[in-house]
Amino acid sequence: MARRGAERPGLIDWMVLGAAVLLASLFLMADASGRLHAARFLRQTLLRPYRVVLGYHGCPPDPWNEVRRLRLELAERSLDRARLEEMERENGRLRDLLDFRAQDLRLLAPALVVGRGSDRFGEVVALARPEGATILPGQTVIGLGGLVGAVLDADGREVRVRTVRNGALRVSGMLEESRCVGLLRWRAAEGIATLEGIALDVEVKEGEGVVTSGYGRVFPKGVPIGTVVGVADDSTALARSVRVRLGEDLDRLEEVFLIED
Amino acid sequence: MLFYLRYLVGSFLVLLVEGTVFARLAIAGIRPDLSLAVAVMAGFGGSVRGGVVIGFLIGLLRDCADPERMGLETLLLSLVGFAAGCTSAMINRAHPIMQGAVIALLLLAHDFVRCLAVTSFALGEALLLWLRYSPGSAVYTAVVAAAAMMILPRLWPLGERRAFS
Repeated sequence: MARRGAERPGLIDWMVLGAAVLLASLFLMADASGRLHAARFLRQTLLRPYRVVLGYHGCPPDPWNEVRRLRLELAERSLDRARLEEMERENGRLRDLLDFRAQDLRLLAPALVVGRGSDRFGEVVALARPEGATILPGQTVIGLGGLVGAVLDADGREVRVRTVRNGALRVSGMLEESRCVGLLRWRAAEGIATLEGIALDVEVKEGEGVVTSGYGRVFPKGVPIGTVVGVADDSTALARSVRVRLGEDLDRLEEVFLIED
Repeated sequence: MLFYLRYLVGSFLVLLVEGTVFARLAIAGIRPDLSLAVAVMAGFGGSVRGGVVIGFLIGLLRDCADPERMGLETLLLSLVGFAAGCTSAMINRAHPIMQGAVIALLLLAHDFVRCLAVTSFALGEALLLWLRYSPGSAVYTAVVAAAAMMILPRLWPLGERRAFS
């Protein structure tokens, strides 16, 4: 077939095109329910002979919606995975707590840490009041790693605890091996505690455990406090200060126990 | 009238084949758009208005299968049929390669507008979607349509130039 010049559409052609565009635009401008009704009507009337093929055809592939659906599913799965991982971590912590609790002979009431005091040094923390437990001021609070502090006060739903960082809390500690007793003091600037009043002739080893002495009946005897990380020697002093790393990380408290004496 | 009757039957068969045979012959998720090829061939074989009418009908069928964007395919395929009719006299429309080339170009244009519509005119997303599917689909459709035109010349005569004689 030879080439010819471009065929210009005639008036009829333009009118037919205009009618087609107008009809299509009417469908496009209709709302969702209108479009559905129109599709259903056309399938049942004008396009009835094509119902067989429409059944095979189904919906045309819509990769955009498929991508959106997959993105949404991916986001949901990522969220589920994050929740699952958090649950696994909590599970591990709770298992550790259960094992810890089974070894201890004292009565322990578990409590969740729900807040911290407005001070910057973690001197006071708030716990959710455990149900059925007797809460008394001065009650010992411990964590997995060791001593946390003592109950300051309690109201209907919350228990406030003064931690070992609090200068008002006097903790008497004892070196596990030498059985030498000193007074624990928190050094906020260094982030470490010191056990003061240790005699100069006492042999102190690094890694040695420090526990509560039971002196003054403030805390029960034998509650772990931390471990020795160094000795501050001052030859002019009459006694030594022993540097102690606390066993419980007070910045990452989540669950604690109240000792019910 | 014979022209329209032929294309009505033809579109029925093409939609049937597209929904059954070619649904299983997708390559990396890309399928040929044979119903668009029918609209183009209607514009080639009949007249401009013949292409518009057949394109409108096929677009309406596709929209009835997917009512969410009803009217879009009707509009696009009407324009495709119109464009095919307008360009049919400029090329050697009996040559399968020319037929395939025109089908491919019109399919690319059709798909671009469709991608813009489905992505709510987000140009970047539309381009990505278009690049992912359209070039492959254009090639696949052009090859299948050109092969069909070589094998089935009696069913798709290009000698008629007017739908209303």
